[in-house]
Amino acid sequence: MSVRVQLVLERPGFRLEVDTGFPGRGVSGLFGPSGSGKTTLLRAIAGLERGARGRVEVGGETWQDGSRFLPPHRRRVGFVFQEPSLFPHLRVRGNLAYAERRAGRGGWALPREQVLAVLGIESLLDRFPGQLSLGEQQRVAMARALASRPHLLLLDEPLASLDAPRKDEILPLLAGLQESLRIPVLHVSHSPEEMLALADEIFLLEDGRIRASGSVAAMAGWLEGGKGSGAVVLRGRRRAAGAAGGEATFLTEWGPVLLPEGEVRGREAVRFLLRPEETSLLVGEGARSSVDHLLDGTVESLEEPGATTARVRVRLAGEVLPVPVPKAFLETHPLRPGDPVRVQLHRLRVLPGGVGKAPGPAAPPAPEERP
Amino acid sequence: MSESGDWVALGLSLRLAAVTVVLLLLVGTPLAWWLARTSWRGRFLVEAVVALPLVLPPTVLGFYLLVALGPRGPVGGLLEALGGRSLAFTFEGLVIGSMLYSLPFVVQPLQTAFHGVGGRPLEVAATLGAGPRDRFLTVAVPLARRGFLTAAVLGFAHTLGEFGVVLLIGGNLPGETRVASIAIYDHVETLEYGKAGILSAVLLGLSLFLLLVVYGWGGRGRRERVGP
Repeated sequence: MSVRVQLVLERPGFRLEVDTGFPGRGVSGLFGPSGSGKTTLLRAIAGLERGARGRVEVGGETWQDGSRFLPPHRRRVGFVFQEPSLFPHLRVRGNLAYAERRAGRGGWALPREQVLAVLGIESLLDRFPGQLSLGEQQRVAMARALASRPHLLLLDEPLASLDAPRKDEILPLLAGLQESLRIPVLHVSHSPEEMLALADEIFLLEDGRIRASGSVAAMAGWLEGGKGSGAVVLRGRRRAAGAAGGEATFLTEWGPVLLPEGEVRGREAVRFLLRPEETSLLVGEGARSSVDHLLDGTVESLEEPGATTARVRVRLAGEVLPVPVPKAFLETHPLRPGDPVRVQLHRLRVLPGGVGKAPGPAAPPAPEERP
Repeated sequence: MSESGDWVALGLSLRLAAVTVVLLLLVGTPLAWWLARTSWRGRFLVEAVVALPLVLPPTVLGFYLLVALGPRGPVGGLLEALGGRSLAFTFEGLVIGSMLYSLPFVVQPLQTAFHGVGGRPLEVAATLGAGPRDRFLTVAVPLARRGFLTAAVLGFAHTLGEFGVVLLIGGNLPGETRVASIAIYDHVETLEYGKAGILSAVLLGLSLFLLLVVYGWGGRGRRERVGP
């Protein structure tokens, strides 16, 4: 059920040329500056750009190739536009039914009740779009896209038209929905925060071409302060045996991490951002501080970029984190590749994504603190 | 002229306006839809022809119709050759003339309304699985409903008030082509100002009522869109 896209679209002063595959499950983030062709690419995949030539294959179905061009209504696609775009003449119920009726048997990419509950729109069913806030409208638009039994979900900056509080309200809900979807999702955004919180794979689009792609962990550096910044994203799942004292233990690829319950608010899965400058290196057996974010790793290599600060590249599970250390430290503690070390994390920035226990509009998750 | 003759003329006017509007909506809707959606460069040619009755003296339109529909005209001749009769001085002839004369009053509001619907709702409908016909009927038409009301009322009212076209191609046959505006003219010609006044007042009231419907409904629509 993978997505294969090979498209060329030419406009005066702009050329979109993409030849790539997207994973058949999970969220592929299309990231790039405005004007880079993100929206055009989504529209071309949906069949809304008649001028696009090439191939589009979704889960073994050919939507487009040299000899065939399926019109958008024959492509099983769910599209959420930047503005909510609900049908103003239909109630919320009618907007959902419009999609349901045309989806044929089965309907809904996820159980209807689940979508309505997670997006918190059960109480809005009898309202007209004009009576809803922008945030509410966009939640309905997402539900409507899921109601059309899509084989591919395309989200074109669905949060861009919302203000910051609304965004923080919807982001976790979106993450929760996307986590449980069995279909591929292409999510367009120019917000690094949104990408880090939601995407599994990230595709960097520039001037109509895909410049780089990789897992969110590998691409975090690109998104956070440029390619060389070394930032990584960690994913953690709550361990069944909860820790005492208002803290929860999350198991990451790199080992267990303790997080204050106040920051994770009952979520089952979290992502956090780690910046190298917010870590430090501990060497030796006795190295055990009162702070608990300690991860075991091995030295990969040494870098000495600055005059006073060097970097020790530490391998932690699959990823390598460049930890800054004072040069003097390396003189007193000579390190070689393969040496065991510990990395202390001074700050974990919890990203707003992840799966909540029971998110809803009644108790929307408050915005994360961003120091 | 008798009083009852005036009521017959008024009834004929209403019947003519109703038939004309129904037929014009059937013909004008696809035309307006096409004009609102096409990216064809020659669109302005069609728009200009549609708008022509706005500036053309009705007598000019009526003259050409009379020539075309009469027994020696291309249309009338063809009909007679097929065993029919010429359309000049008939109710059917009046309907054809009225349709041409009122065409812009129906097509232009519809075109504006369809244009106002914009591409986005139709794209949304397409991604939700609605084909072109489906999109038109379930999204474009309901969203353009105000345009339909305006088109129907303006087309109706304009047909009600026509004179020059009717006079030339319809003549003045009681019960067949003698409509209210012709009856008023006749009364004035014969100095029956009282009768002309009554009929004029009826037409004035009717026209005002129809326009009140359009603008009243529009005001309500605007408030609805803003929401609470």
